[in-house]
Amino acid sequence: MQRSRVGDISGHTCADARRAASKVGDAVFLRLRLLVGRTGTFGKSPPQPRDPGVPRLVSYRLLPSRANFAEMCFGETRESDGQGPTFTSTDLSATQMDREDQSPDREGRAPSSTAPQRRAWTPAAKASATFAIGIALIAIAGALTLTNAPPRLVRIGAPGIKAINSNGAPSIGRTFGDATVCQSGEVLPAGVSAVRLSLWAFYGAPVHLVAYSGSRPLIEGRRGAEWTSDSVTVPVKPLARAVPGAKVCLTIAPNSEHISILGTETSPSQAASIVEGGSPQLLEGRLAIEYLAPGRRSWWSSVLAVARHVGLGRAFAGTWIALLIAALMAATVVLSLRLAMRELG
Amino acid sequence: MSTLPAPGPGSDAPTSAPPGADRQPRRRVAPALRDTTRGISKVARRIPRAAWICALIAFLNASAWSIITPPFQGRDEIDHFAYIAHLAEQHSLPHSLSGPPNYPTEEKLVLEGLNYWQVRFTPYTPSISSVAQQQALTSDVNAGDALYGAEGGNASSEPPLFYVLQLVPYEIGSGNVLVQLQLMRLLSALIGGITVLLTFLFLRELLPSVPWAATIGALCVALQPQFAFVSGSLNPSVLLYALSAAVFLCLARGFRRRLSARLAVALGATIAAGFITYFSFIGVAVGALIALAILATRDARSRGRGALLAPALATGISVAPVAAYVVRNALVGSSLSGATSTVGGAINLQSLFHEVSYIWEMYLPRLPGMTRYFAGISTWKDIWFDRSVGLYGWMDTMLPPWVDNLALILAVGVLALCGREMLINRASLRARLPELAGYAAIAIGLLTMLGITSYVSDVINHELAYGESRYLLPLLPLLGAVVALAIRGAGRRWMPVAGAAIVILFVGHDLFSQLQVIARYYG
Repeated sequence: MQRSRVGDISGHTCADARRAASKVGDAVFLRLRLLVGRTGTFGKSPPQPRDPGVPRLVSYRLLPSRANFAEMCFGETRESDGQGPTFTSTDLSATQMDREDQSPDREGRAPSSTAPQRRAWTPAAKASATFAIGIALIAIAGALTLTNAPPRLVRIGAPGIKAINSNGAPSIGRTFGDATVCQSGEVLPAGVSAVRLSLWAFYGAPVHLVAYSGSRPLIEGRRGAEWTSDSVTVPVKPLARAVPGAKVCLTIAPNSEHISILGTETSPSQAASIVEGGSPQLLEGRLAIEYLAPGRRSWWSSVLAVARHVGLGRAFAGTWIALLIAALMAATVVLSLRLAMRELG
Repeated sequence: MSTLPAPGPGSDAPTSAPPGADRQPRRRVAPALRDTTRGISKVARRIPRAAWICALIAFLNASAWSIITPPFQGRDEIDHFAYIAHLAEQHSLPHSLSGPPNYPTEEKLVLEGLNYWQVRFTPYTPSISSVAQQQALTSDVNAGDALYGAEGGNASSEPPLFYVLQLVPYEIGSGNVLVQLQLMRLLSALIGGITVLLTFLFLRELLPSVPWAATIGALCVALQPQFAFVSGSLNPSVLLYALSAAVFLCLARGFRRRLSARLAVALGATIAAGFITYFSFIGVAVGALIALAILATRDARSRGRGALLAPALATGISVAPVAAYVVRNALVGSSLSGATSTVGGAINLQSLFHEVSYIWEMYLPRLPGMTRYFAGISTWKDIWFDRSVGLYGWMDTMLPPWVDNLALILAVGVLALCGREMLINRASLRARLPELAGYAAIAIGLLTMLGITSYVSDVINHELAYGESRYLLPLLPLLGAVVALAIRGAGRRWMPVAGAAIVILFVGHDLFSQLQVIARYYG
């Protein structure tokens, strides 16, 4: 048995198969094809008017069913029966197909003026177009991401308290259920867009944060249970001006997980309080809270600094490590796309 | 693939052998070596080039991850390194820890130089960033302190196979902890490549009529960022994935052809290797033995009792390490099930309902009447799905929540296409139900094992639950199958589009995950 992609054609053309197919998909691809300014397969020149001297594709013996033509057009692999000529679908280039479309059909009718609208894309062209769109989307998303700026830290904790983040911060309390932690004497900086709370959990829990000035809520934010490790960042709506003497309250609920509250130990008068099951209690200190605002330097402007940073902390330090990573990433992507293209096309 | 030249007639004749007293031993060894090499070469030549390319892609991808992730910021790397150091320096397995971990002096020094304790768990603390810190690290690395004498880390109770393999890069990079670690990570990346190769072969057995299915499925597995991240770090899970993929392959060949004696030996040896690699493999092994029983029943019906010989052989080989472990524990007077006794002891009839409830809720929404174990958490989404989308570094680097939500929509689309394909081909699926039941048994075995371990840790010992997506990666071959079926499910017209779109999604996911980790550690 000879294994090949069958193009056993005996009465129907590939165009017949395309006509039999639904028009919706073709219309979409036709638009895309027009959009990129091509009338043939990607990378091929537009079809030329048919040279009468060029033999038509229909000179091959054809399969009787349209389904088999669809197989031919879309590259389905079959076992050759050994009768009649066989060829691979890659042999059937789009140029040939286009040429066929422009030639008279079997009854000798001239191709209609709407013939280009009926053209189907080859699998290779479809895959190419999808890859092209995908790569373009990735590039756009990457570029947009790099125009963002990482958030900057505008304040750590309350004034008068030793600044501490969760690096090395001791646990000042913990909870295994629903809890509300409140801490007074906080200064909310102007423009704060997120609040980072030092809570440690393996499985996070929903967190609802409200900051009050007296009894008036100033900022509010929520975060789902998808966080882990030793901090949870809650996005909030920015304040126009700084507000001193605020009370920050966070409600952790519903919760059944072990959550540690990290911070710095203080005197009871300055400590945060926790309400767990109805009875308020003082924690052993203050919860470490950090206030974040939108950054000013985009990732684009930090690219060189990041590349230098990547080269540190190694046995053989150097910026070349960033290039090595880029080369490995590029090789992965190129090899993947080429392989997928070969298989799907 | 190059092959050895075929031996000509009389090539083994005494006249062709070099003169000397060692002529006879050489004559015996050389043909054996040549036969072995020829056998390997023959097997390698039968593997399609696409499979090798997929494996290469997996290796390159994991290598990139191995450099992106700062030293020791992979999950539990400090403990695995300490295990290997103990094995290499003291030529013995570390004992299970009774107190806090005790790392070698040189390792501790390097960890300090890397600011390890400040960086881990803290998503907004980058790795070392100044030349002065680098100089301090270099002097720590070259301090030449001892790598022996320590008891080991938290991984001390794990079986040794992966660590024994890692002795090779440890010795090659001897004298520099960071070089040793990087070489070990590269060996892990190589094992990751083998996993993808085995996945390719599994998919080719599973969907033989779709030539591209194996390539695209294996390619997506190679690009799966969570897998690439783990493959780029020092973690025995990597070998667990490779062995699980080998189990899937052996079973697929058994179901699609028949379980020959050679295949039975391969399956048994793979399961046996899994037992001495990672305790989590017990779940896979139990599922594989159930699949083997299904296979034996099917074969016995069609070919009589003689067909039971191969499954019996496979079972015998696979449980050999367990039997040896039990005998060893009996001889030293410890609990027969050794380190697994805490898990085994937790399973009792009184608490069975709670255990079943816990395991159910670990993956699925709680049913009425069940105790609430995970209040406020949608475990399938918040734990398993979101963390499969991205949980890197020392469990401290995740993608933004909106990415998880977008990924969920796309995943539902892929599953819908896969479901469509299965619905269309339900008749042929029905004919392959025993095979599918075998694969399902492995999946259920793994999830149940994970659930029991988590129950013991979380509910009984009041420690941490086990909720990391890397635990699910032994099922990677099934991910490849889902991808292949989804592409087929798009229909003939849209197949190239769906295939290309899914591949590009995996590429994008991988790239953005790498950028996220770069931003976290170096931004």
